[in-house]
Amino acid sequence: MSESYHRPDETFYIAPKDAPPSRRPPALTIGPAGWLRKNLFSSVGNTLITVITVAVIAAFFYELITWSVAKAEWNVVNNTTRLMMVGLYPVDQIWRIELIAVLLVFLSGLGLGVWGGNARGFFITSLMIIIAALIIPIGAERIEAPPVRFLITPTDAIGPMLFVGDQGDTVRLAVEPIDDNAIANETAPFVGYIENSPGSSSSRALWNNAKAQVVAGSLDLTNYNLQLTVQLLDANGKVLEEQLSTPERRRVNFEFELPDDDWYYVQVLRDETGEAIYDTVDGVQLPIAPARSLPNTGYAWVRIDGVTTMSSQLTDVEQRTKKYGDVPAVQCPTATECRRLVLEENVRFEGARSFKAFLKTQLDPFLQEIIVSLIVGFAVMLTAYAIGNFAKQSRSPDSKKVVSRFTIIGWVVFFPLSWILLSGFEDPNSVHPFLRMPEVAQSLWGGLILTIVLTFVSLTVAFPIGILLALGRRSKLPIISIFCILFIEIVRGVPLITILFMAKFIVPYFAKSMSDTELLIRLLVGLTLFTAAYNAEIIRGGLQIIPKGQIEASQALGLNPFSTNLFIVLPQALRAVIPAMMSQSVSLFKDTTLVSIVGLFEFLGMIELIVNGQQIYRPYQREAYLFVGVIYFIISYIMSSLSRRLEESGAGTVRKMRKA
Amino acid sequence: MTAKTDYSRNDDFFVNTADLSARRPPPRSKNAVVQFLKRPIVLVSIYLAYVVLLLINWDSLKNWLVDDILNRPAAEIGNGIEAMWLGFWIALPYLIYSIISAFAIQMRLGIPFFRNLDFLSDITQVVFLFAVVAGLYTLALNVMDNTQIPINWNVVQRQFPVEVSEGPDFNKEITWLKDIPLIGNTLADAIVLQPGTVTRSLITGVINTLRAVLLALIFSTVLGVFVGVGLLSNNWLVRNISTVYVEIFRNTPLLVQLFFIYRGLLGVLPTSPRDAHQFGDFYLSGRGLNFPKVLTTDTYSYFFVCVIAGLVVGAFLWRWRLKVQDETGKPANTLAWFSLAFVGLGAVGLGLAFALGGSPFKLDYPVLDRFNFSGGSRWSSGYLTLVVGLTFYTGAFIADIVRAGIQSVSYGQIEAARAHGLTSNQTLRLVVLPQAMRLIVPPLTNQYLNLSKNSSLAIAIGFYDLYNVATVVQNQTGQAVALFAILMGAYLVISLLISLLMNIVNRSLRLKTR
Repeated sequence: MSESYHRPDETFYIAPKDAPPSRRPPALTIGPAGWLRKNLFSSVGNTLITVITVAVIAAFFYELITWSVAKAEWNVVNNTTRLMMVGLYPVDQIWRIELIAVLLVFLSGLGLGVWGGNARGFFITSLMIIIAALIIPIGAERIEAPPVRFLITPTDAIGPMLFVGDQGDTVRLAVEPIDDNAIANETAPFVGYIENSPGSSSSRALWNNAKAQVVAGSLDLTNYNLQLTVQLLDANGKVLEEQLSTPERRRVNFEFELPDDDWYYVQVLRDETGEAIYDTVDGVQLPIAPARSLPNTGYAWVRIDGVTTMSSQLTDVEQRTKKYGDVPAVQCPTATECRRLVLEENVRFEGARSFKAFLKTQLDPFLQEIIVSLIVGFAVMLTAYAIGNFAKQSRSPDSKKVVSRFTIIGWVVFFPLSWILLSGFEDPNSVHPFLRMPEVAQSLWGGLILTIVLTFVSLTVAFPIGILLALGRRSKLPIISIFCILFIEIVRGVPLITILFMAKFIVPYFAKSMSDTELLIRLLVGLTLFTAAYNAEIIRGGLQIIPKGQIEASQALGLNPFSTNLFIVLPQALRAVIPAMMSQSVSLFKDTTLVSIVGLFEFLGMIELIVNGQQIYRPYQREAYLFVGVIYFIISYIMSSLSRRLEESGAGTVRKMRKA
Repeated sequence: MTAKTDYSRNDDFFVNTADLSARRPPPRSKNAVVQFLKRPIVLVSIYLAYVVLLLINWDSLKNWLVDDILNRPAAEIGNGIEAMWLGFWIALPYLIYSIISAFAIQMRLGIPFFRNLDFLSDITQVVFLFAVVAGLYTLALNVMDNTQIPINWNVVQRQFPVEVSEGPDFNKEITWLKDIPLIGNTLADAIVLQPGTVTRSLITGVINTLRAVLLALIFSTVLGVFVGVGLLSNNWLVRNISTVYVEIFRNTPLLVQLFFIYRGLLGVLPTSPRDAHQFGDFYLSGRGLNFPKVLTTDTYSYFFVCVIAGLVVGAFLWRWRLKVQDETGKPANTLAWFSLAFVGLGAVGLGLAFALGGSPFKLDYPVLDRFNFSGGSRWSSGYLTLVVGLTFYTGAFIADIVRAGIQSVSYGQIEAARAHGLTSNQTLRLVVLPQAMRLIVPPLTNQYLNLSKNSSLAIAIGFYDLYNVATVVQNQTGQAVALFAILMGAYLVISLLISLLMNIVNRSLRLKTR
């Protein structure tokens, strides 16, 4: 066809017969290669930086992953999930917290369904994660108290140790002699703790170098000789039960039903009459080896199941004393016998672990704990979302109105309701039998739920105070503005911890009636005032950007100052400061950790109590604090990216008039 | 009487008398004394003097006032009544003044008092003043009554129960105190020669706080600037790693970070100095970091004088070069001239010192004894944790501030600078940074203040900063109120100092308009 166009007498452009060289961009400037070149290797310096950074990151992640899979002992998290989430809240009352969590999930789902806009997907993800963290107690309820284990070594037996038990409780004691490394390793992931004799206050369990060596399999345990007597005594020192362990009778178990609500001892005695192991060589009995031939040489675990595990909190001890009577004086054979239990060595578990073992022993228990809660949470959330969305899309406008009104009322009712649910009634018999919830002392609140209570309560109460302070600071009345300036600046000028210090130690003196206010309330007052001062400054920033014309216009319309503020200035100013208030909430959420310093056991405080107070968990601090950090990060990252989204979506500015 | 009809027709229910007075000024009194007294500053001063006198003499006055007017013995009335009584006497003159002025305006302009906005706001203030004074004074009285141990401000002179293991060695380092004329010896007696007093421990605490804050402040600024620039890097990896760092450290509580460093990282190191990790002459163990200490020798003063001279000469050269640049347009190269003078004179000083008796400095290396290190410097694990934790935490915030500051400089500025032929270095130094700094400094000040306040978390990791010392004293003596006041005061002073310094920096960076 092209030939027909060819007219030699006319000057046409004739395409060359060969296809022109490709006009496509060079391969190295497009696609993944181009991206890499542009973003990572654009110059020599850039390449160098990339290479170094990759090396550092790779090394870091290699270390982190090998550590967390092969070495880390995540049981510290698995075994204490309930404590971390709900603190010392009575186990049989945890359903109330579950109810709160379900309500929260339901209301969030409803709100999302009715109002969900652009940020829907984001909202869903974020709330899911918060909820997953919140409802963990639902699963955690089923976790039994961890068993308590003690190591008997060639030189150490255990002296008398105290624990409390209720009538009818079954305590199981087991002696498990360690005769080879396999057993030593098998029992490696042990955790648990027990209250110790008052003579050695800080110790919960035996934990020393020898055990670490046993666990790591570096001791030769093939031959041993161990004769132990395990005794269970009542508070008066009367022997209730006694069992003998010999090499012939391995793994002695016995169960014992406790006759009363009382204190008990467990004590392990070394039977000095035990005989050494002999080997028969040519008809002559010879000791196997000099060192091992000594009687009573060997290692064993003494395992105690079914006793109440406890913390060293003072209030706890007081409550225990109230219920079980005074702590009996422990009869230690010698002072060293008691002191021996106080060991200061921090030894980490260093045994190698396969990935399969990691999944089985570390991840699976945790997932099993939270799976039920996750499923319930998802189900409730989706149901609520479906209801809300159905109402939104239905034809009758009334149904949307009804559902959104219901959601708003629900949120308003939610906060006081959850407080009532959490605290219960002082006199449960005075209310309807259906609501008969015994009071749970605030000293028992703890864990993540307390963190959330602290954040929500101080945010909501501080908000109106902050508005008043901001308005007062801008007021033309000098006395009011001086007072507000002084308050705001002093509170902002000192660390939060000093304010909490004041709340703890000085507020009780403010009035006679305040002297036995709960610590939680006192600290809430401190947190609220602190937040109010910061909120006031944020709101003042919002008030400042309101154009003067707005105020003048409202005056021209005949509004008095009060109405001007209420209907013209504040709505615009508050809308403008939503992102800043959100980041203030994040910072408050992080700051609630400080109450752990002044003696409230919120999330971090609980972890600290478990990890630092319990000798047996002490080597696993890294795992525990990593876990805490991750939870805090997830929640506050969601909150702060929410504030960023709000800022980008224009909430941070005064909205332009719709009908300009 | 025409005035009355005028204002009753006013649309507003409330009348702002200031506007009216502007239109129709009140007749000036001919009496000079009355004129003087009517000036607001005089009125306020007289009122303040009255309040101060009342407060100072309240103890003696209250007997008289209560006995004679309430007809009850002063000791019997409750704290609340006494405080309300005080509030009443403080608010009374203001109340009388507002009533008189409202009455005067009603007479003169015919505005009834309930429509007089000035009067209404005066009354609001009177009520507010009464409520605040009554409330606060009740609280103060209750605190004084209810504390089992009476508040004792002399608590600072008591013995401090535990020796603060860290901090300056007063006996060695603060001998210069004695050289201060007149009060030097007294000061030295008070602080130095009484080991184990609360005063000395509190001062140690303040110094420890300042030590940690200062170091963390410098480190976090450096880190923040680097990461802030990294956030804007055109290298994808660097940019994203910087973002991850900022997000992680901003979104976890500082306390968690401190615990992780203290217990998770330093806590698992061997505690025995014998097993300490060694990096050259640096030894890191669970107890802290031991490192060589720089000591001065006898010839130090020669070197020191020369360095000071170098600084002075360098500063002069700097100004001279700037002047030359202004006059001739030749490049100033200020930094080169300055460093030439500084380094040159420093080298001269070093040479002088060596010639006159050896090196001006010597290193004191840590040496492992039987149980511990002797010699060298030591940072305890608490101090190390605090500095590292504060650095990383604040560094993340500073990085974001630096990024926002640099991003705020419009790209047109950079293009214009390039069009003028400035090198990229010059663009950064002369165009971008000066503009960015103006936006960076105010939020940076906030971060510095936060850092100084956050240093009080040292109590969680057992470092003896001010707050920790105060808590120990409070536990021992029960003097919560006194210690709390001291704490608040000290932290306010530190905050004010930082704000003051940063305000000076801010002012020097301000846009200079003619």
